[in-house]
Amino acid sequence: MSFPDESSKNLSSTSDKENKNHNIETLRKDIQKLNYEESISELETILSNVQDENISLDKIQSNYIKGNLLLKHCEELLEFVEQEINEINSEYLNID
Amino acid sequence: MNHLNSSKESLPTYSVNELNKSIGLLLKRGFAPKFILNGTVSKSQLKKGHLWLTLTDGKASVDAVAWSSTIKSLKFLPNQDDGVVIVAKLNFWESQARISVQVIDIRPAISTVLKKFEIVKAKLLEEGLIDDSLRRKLPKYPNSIGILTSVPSSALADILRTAKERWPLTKMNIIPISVQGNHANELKVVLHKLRKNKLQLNAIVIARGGGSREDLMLFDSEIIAREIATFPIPVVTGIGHEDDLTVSDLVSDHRAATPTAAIVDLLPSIDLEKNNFLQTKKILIDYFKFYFKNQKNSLYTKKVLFKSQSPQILLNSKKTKIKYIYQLLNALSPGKLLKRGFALITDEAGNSIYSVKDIKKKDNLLIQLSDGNITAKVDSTNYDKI
Repeated sequence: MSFPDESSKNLSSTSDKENKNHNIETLRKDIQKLNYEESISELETILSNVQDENISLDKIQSNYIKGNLLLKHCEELLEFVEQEINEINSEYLNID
Repeated sequence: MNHLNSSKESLPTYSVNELNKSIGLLLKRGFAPKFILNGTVSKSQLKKGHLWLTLTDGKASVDAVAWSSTIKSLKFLPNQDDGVVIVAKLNFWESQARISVQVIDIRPAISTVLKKFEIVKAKLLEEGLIDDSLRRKLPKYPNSIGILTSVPSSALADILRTAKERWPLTKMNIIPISVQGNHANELKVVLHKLRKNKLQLNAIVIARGGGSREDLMLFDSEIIAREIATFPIPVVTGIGHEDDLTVSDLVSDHRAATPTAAIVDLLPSIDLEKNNFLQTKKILIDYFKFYFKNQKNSLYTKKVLFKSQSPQILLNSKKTKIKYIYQLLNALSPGKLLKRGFALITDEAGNSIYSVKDIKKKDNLLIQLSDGNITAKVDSTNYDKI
């Protein structure tokens, strides 16, 4: 997953803003699909990205948005997830 | 004859049949209906579905039988030389006055269990299946795990309670197995099926609550140990009590002391993770703050630098310099002296006059005052000699 390209600078500022909001929404949906381990690993990538002194402002912005969405997602996972418990009779094991 | 006659009244008299019946009655009344017998199997023979045993303890021996109807429910069938513990009752055949111990339940004696453990362990060690370097790392955040244990059981309840407290993000797949007695083949089949399933498990736990070491003999089984040793995903064992070690524990990827410990070892702790997560969050947010602060600072520095290069500044500095020079000039100008009442006297051409000797009578002089000048003619000169 990568943050959508924001190089739509020729567009007018309003549609630029709309475009950005749309991108964030897409990003949020993508992040919702990640499990905890994937989210943490994405966060670590962002952490190493932002520690690069030569990072561009565009990049830091996308990393900032993505980082915040990931943090929120992780928090929600830790707070609200209910354990899923299935009992599987061994007779059905090879059918699955 | 005499003796026989005299004691005839006080001695009971039996027929063989009566004698045997009386003995049977006595045994029935006087002997415990059920008892536990410890011994070693010196002979074992399966005949017509019944298992005939000779039990001994080195000093004495007795015959025993497990009827075919009982054998079906037995979890353990002994071989020759196995030490056994038998729940038994006494059979007395009146027709022959024969005594036999009837097996109700039979278990291996601890010595037998430990002997088997040592034999299987030695075999697998030699094959290289028991080796710490074969133990795989457990997944850090397992998505989905399999729990192989008996259902329902306190071990399962402990596992589910612990999992809920510890890490509710992991999907728990409970696969019921029989953990009592000699169901090695059954467990082997389950493990074998699990190898090929599509449950996408990250690890499995094989758990069995406490009990005596003899009850854990299933997990000393060679076929189970081989399944575990070659299982495609990490296997955690939580079998029996703290001190119980089975062959399954030796070949697993991680041996936990109890079922609860197994799930503690496999699942991350939500409290620890929350702490770590908060730290990551703080670091990340701090970095963003730091970045923007840095950017702002660098922008400010550039602004200052840029401003210092502006032509206005240059002009101002020149202006200031000119002003200073002007002030300096002004301070030295004679105009100031004129204002204070001094006058500047020159000849008609405007040349300064430094001495009385420079002028003569009738010369025209120009006298400059602060607000204008006067033309004057010299009347006389007096030279002061100093």
